[in-house]
Amino acid sequence: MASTADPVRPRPPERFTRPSAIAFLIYALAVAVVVWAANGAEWSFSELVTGIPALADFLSRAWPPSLDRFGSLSRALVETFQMAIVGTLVGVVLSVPLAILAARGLTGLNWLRWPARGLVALFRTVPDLVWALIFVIAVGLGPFAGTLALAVDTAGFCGRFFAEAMEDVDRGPSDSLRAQGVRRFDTIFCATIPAALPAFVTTSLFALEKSTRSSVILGLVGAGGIGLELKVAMDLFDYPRAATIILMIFVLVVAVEQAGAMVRARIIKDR
Amino acid sequence: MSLAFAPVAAPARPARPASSSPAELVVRDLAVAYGEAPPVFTGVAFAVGRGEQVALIGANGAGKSTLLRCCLGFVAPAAGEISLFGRRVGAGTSGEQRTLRGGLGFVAQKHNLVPRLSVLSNVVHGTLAEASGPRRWLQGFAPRAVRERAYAALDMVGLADFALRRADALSGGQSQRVAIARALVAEPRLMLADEPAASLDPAAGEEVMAVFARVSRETGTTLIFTTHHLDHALRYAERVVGLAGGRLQLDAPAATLAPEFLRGLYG
Repeated sequence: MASTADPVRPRPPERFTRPSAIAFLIYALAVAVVVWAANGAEWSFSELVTGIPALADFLSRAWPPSLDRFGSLSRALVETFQMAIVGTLVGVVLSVPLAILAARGLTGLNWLRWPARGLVALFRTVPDLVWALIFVIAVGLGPFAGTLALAVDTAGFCGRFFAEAMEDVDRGPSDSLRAQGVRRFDTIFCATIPAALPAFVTTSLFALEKSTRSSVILGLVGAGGIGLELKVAMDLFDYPRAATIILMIFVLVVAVEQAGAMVRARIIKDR
Repeated sequence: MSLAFAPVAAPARPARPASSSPAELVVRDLAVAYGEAPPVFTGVAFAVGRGEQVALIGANGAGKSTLLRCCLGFVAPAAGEISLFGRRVGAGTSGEQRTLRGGLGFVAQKHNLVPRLSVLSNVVHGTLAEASGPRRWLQGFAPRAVRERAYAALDMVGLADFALRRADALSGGQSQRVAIARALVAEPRLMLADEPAASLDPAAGEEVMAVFARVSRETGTTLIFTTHHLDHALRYAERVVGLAGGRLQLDAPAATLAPEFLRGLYG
């Protein structure tokens, strides 16, 4: 603190620091990129406003939803959920060994790490719709192709997050066991995975939610599920039936998300 | 051992001859350096006989933990060598090194238990060096004989009643006793403990050190522990080895040493 004899009081620093010339250039470049992207995407507020009456027309023609084929639509919805469950489960099982190999410093097999990471990245970055098209060619139309697509997509999603969860685990227990001559292989399963298990479960639940949403879309390319029914209803301008399908999808996805949130909350409380 | 010994100022002393029992650990002219930095220590030499209880003391950075990590083969020395049970640490295949470490029990400053698993599962993990595989990853699948051994080890540290409790539900002192049980269950010839009482309150620290000393005596297991608690070194070890100024400055029976004498090692 300044003494009473000193009339000059210390001043606090400036609230904001002036950006450097390079920082200013980067900000300007970022704004230019957004404008460029919006232009390429043909973003138009005027078209959005003129489209509102057409949207209102669709809603008025879709209401009330039709319950004519509720039974067969329910079966298609159940099939969609079955695809999501099996696809997620197979994907999670596939992702565990991939994640173990892809995680940094876990196996000591560094030469296998990059191929594993590459495979996980391939599974994750190729959209599930593309995987569905590929599997429709391989195994034909139907829910099996969709399930395979969901499995591969889930393996990519979970493979990445499982690997990161295992990398974040405290290495102390593994190191103490290795100091007593325990193999790395055993420490992965008895020390690393149990510690990462809450993250595994929450990620798997997110994957199930994601698969449930994706399984709806996969029907559009003939890979089973209720998506095909939605496409047919829209193509035939049968908007009341389309509204029924959209509401059914909404209920299923919300139910899965709520169940997942409850389980996650329980796990986090238990962690 | 001369009581007139001036701890830090004195030149490096030659290694005290190994005790009459066969040497479990022999350290010969050991030096460790990290990169271009000055060596952590040089010319360290001592031997530890079977059944001995040895305290390794020294100020922070003196190299106590580094020396233990050298014994485990986790740090390669710049010079010198370490023999464990008559075999050179760091020589041979990784499988042979692992087999060699199988004769060790190790307890770190932090208990390093797997938090979500039961206490008994954590102790069962201590037997994984002798047989690998999923049957020893969880106590529920472990062979009956292994479960019984793990339970007996828990009983030895006074925590048999906690067998099915989750490891993260224990106090610090209890966790460290489970870590001792995990080290003991493999029936090691030599137990290494790196400041096992450092993260505990004084009462829990005393309790843990007392358990160490008792099980070491009862099982005939050789014990080497590092510590900053000079009273622990004098009370729970038969022999004290001290590092200071990058050299081994002290190697003497605990009964001949006084706390104020040891404080000299800390400068």
